[in-house]
Amino acid sequence: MTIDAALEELCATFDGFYTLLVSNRDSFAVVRDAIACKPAVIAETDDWVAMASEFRALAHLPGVEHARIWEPEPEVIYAWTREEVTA
Amino acid sequence: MSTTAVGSTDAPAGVTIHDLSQTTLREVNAALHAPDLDGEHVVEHPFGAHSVAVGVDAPVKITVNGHVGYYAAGMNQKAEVVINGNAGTGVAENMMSGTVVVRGNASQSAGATAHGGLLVIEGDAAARCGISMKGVDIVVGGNIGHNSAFMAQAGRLVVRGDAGEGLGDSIYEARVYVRGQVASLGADCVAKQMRTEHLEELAGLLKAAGFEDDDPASYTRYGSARTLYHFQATNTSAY
Repeated sequence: MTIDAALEELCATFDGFYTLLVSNRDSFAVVRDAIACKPAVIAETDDWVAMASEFRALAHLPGVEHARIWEPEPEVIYAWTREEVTA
Repeated sequence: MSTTAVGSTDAPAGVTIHDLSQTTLREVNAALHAPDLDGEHVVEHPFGAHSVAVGVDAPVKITVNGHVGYYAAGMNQKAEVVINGNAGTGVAENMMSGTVVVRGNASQSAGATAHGGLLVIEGDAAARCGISMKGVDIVVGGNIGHNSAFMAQAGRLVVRGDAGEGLGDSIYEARVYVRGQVASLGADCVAKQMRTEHLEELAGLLKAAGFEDDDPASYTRYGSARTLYHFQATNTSAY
């Protein structure tokens, strides 16, 4: 099962308020419930992606001044997959 | 007004620089609460700090260079605050007067419960923008999230982009103007006719926010259908 499919199922199954960061070996995903009252902010550069409940936690990451920063929308699945790195 | 550079030696005349990488937030906010405060103030390196420039009660100009955390410029009175970055939850909450301009995006509950003044968000605002607004004017350059203007009592909310679900749920007498699409309207919120006075009012708000090139006629007005104002016996089962 892909991380997107797993999170779609999660949104249908879970009740209540949540903002989740779900990660496995190759993927990183963020999803919020439909009400979206738990805070969340995502920062993304060409090199990394980071998620926190407030910008203060991201403010000192290298290159954050050039990051794209936004608040994830409710019940939208944001997923990233690690690029293959050949040795 | 003396020129005092706090944590910096490069302040232009009449400008006080408050560097949050050198000074505590409590000291900066205390300085901004000084009696008879005047002149221009610049806050550098906020790094997402919460409660930056809250509770200012003086006709001064405050520029914040960077992203801020929760409740920035909350309870503002008279001050002209510009945030050159994004703002977290509750920017300008409970503002009474003055102006707050966010050059980036704002998180949820922007302008919540605010009684007066003008809040401009040049980017997007997230959920619950203008929740329980009580007289403030809010102009959003982009989109707003769901449940915006929930229980909005007075004031005007202008949205140049789209609005999320449940716009104006249980709205009282605030007026909402949206140029783009509305995902859905909340309970008792309806689209209304744009009469001459509304076109004039909207033109004034767009001009005040720096969007005077917009055509007010391209907006739709939303407001209360006024069907929830009084208890009705036929609704008993809903309680």
